[in-house]
Amino acid sequence: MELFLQYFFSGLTVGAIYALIALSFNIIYNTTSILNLAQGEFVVLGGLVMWFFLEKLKLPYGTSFLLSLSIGGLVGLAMERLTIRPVLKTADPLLLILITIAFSILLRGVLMFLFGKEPYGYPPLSEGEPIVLWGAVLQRQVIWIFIFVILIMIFLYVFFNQTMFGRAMKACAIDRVSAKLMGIKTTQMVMVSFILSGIFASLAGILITPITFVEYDKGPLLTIKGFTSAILGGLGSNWGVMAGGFLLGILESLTAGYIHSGLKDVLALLILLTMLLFKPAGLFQTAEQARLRKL
Amino acid sequence: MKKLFHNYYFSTLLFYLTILLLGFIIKDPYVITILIFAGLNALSALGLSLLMGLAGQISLGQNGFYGLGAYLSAIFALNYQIPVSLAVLLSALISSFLAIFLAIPALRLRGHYLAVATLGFGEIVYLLLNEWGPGGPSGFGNIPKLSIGGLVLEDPLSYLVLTWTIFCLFFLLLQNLSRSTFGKTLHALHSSEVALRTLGINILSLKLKIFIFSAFLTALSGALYAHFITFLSPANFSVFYSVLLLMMVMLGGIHTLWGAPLGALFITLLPEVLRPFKEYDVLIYGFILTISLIFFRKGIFQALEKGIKYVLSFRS
Amino acid sequence: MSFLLEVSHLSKAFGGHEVLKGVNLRIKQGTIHALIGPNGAGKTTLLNIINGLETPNKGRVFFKGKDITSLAPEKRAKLGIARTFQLLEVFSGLTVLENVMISLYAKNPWGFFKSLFLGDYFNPQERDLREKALFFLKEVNLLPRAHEEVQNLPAGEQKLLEIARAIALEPEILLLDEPAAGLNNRETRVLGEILKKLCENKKITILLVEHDMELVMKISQHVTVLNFGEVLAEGTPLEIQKNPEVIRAYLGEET
Repeated sequence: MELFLQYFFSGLTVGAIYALIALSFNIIYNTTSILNLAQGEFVVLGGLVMWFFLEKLKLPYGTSFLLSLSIGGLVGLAMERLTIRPVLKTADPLLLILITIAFSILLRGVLMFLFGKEPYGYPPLSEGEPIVLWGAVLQRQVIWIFIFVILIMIFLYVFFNQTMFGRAMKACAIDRVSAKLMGIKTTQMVMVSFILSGIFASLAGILITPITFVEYDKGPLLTIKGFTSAILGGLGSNWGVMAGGFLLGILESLTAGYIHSGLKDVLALLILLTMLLFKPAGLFQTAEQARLRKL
Repeated sequence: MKKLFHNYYFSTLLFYLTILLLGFIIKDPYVITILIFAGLNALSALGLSLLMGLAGQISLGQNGFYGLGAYLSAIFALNYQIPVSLAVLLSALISSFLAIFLAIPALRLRGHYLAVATLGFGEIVYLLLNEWGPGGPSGFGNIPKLSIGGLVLEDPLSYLVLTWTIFCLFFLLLQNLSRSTFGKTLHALHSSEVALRTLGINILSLKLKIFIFSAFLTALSGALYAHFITFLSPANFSVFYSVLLLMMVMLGGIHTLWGAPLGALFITLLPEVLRPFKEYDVLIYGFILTISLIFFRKGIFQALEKGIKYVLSFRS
Repeated sequence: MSFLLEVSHLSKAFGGHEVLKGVNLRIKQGTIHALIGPNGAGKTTLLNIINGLETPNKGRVFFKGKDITSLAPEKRAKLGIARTFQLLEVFSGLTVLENVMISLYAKNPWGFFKSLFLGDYFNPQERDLREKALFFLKEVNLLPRAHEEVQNLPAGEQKLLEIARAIALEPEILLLDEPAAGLNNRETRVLGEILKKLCENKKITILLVEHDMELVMKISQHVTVLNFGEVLAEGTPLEIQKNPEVIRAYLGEET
C-alpha cells in the first residue's frame, strides 16, 4: 500500500507538469488550431533560464522566478511574431506544423549554444525535510507544484469567464469568423495565447527542475508527453487536458513501478496512438462536443 | 527527338551520370562515402516527397521505417544467414507491410493529428530498438556487406553506383507516376477530398498506397544503409532523422520530386562544410529550416533561381 | 410508377438547429427536376444527404428502389449519382483537361503499378482518357480552355467544368447546386441548353437547385419548393408559378 502511494505521489508530480504542458498546448490550439510542437522546448527554456538567474547571477528566488516567467512569455511572443504571424494567413496546416517543428529545433539549438549539453539543477522553492504522508515520502517542491497548478486553474477560470479580454478569447476559440465580425482583434488573441502558453510551459520547467534536472535536449519527449495528456483529456477543454496530464503521470508512474521502468515512455506513446486512432476527441468528451468546441 | 532531350528521362540520366562522374573523378573514399549517404538519404526523402508533395500527407515517423528496414535486414542476414540482397528486399517488404497497420487508422486523421500520430510511431520504434534491439542502446556490428551474384561490394565506389542506380530507378518511376492521371488524382487531394469522393474515389485506399510505397522506399534505404555501414545503433534512428528528411524535402522544394535529391545532397553535404562549427549543428539546422519555411516556401533552389534571374535582369 | 430517386421523411439537425423536417421528394427518370426555395431552406443539405456527404437523423434515401441511406459517397458515385458544388470544389493547380481526366480515371482506374511503370507517355489508356475528356469539355463549351489551370478561370466557367467532370462519370442522375450563380444572362441561356441536351440526348436525370427562376421555369418539368426545411409545394412550373403559398413565401421574403 505504501509502495502504491509512493508511485501515486510521484505520478501526481509528473502529472502536474504534464498538465501544465498540456494546458499550454490547449491555449494555443483553442485560438489558432495550431499544435505548437515546440512546447517542450519552452519547458526546458524555463528551467535553464531560471538556473541562469538564480545560480549564475545570484538573484533572489522570487526575482529569478518572475524574470524566467517573463522570458518564457517573451520567447512565446517572439515565436508568434517572427514565425507564426507571417504564415498564419496562408492557413496551410502542413506549413504551420513544419514551422513549429523548425522553431523547436531552433530553440533547442539556441539553448545548446547558451548552456551546453550538461544537466542543470537548483534548490527547490523551500528547503526542508520531505513530508511523510501515510508512509509515503512527498517532497516539499511537490506541494508547491500543486499550489501553482491550483492557482493557474483559478486564474484561467477568472480570466476566461470574468474578464472582457478572456471572454473575447473564448469567443475567438468558439468561432473565429464571427468573433472577427464582432470586432474582436483575432490576431491580438493569437499573440496573447502564445505569450500565455510560453509562460505556463516555462513555469512547468521552473518547477520541475529542482526535482529532475533539465538539459537542452529534453524538449521533444516533454512535447510528446504534454501532447499525449492533451489528447487523453480531449483537446479544447482546459479541465480535460489538466485531468489528462494527471492521469498520464499516474499511469506512467505505476507502469514504471510495477512493470518495468523502460516501458513508461512506450506506454505514453501507445496511449497517444490508441487515443489518436480510436478516440481523438479524448476520454471526457464526444466527437460532437469536440467539433462544436472547435468549429 | 527534340522532345526526348527535354523530358525527365534525359535530365535524370544526366543527373545520374554527373553524380557517378563526381565519384570517379574525386576517388577520395571519404567523399564517396558522403555521396553514398546522400544517395541513401535521397531515397528516403523521395518517399517523403511523394507523400508530402504529391499527396499532401505528412509523416514524422519515417525514422521508424528507416530503423525497421535497417534492423530487420541486418538481423535476417546475421542471424538467419539469408543472402543479403534477399534480406534487403524482404525487410523493405515487411516494413511496408507493417506500415499498413499504422496507416489504416492514421490516415483518417488530418494535419497536426496525422503528424503527431506518425511521430508517436517513429518514437515507439526508436524506444523499442533501444530496449530490445540487438545490443540495446550501444548497438551491434559485423553485419555482412551486400553482395550481388557472389560479388561482394567492398569498394565504396561500387556501392556508390548501386545506391544512386537504385535511387534513379525509383526517381524515374515516381516521375512517371506523378505525370500519370493517378498522380494528378493524388495532387487533387490537396484541393478537394470531398470532390474526389463524389467522383467515386476511395480516398483512404489512395492515401494508403502512397503511404506504403513511401514506407517501402525509406525502409529500403535503411536496409542499404545497414549493409554499407555494417554497424547499427538506435541513435541513428531517432526522430531527428525524420526531421532531417523533412528539411531535405522542404529545402529542395516540396512541389517537385527533384526536391528530394537536391535537398538530400544539400543537407548531407552541409555538415561537412560546417565542420568547424560542429558543436552548433542543431542551431544552424534550426535557423536554416525556420528561415527557409518563412521566406522560401518553394525551396531554396527555386529561390536561388529567381535570385539569379533577378540579378541578371539588372545586368541587361 | 417507379422513381429513379426517392427521398422519404428526411430530417436533419445541426446541433439544435433543424434544417430538414421530414422532407419527401420523388424524381422521375429522364426529367429535369428543380428544387427551389429561399436561402437557408435546406436545399444544399438535401443534396449532401442524397449523395452521402451527410447522414440524415431520420428518413431514407432510395436510388432505383434500393435503400442507399448509409452508403458512402464514393459508392453512390459508382451507382450513378454525380454532383456539382455551390461553393466550387475544383482541383486547383491542375488544368481543366486534367480535372475531367481524373473523373474519367475514377470510373475505370488502371491502378498504381501501371502508372508507376508507364507514366503518361507510354500508356495508351492515358491517350484515350485525354480524347474522351476533350469530348466532355466540348459538351459544356470549354474546349478552348482545356489547357488552362482551373483556378485562372472565372467562376462561371469553373461551374461548367464541374458539370463536365460530373457527366464524365456518365451518371444516371446529376445533382446540380446552383450552376447558374455567377453566370450572365447569355451564359445562363447556354447553360440551359446544355442541361436540356444532357437530359434529352444522354438520358441523364437532373436535380437542379437554382435561384434563377427564368432558367428553372424554362427547362424543368417538375418543381419542388422547399421552405424552412419543409416541402411547401410541388408541381409543374406553371402550377408553381400560380401557387399562392409559393408567391407568399417569396414575396414575404422580399418585402
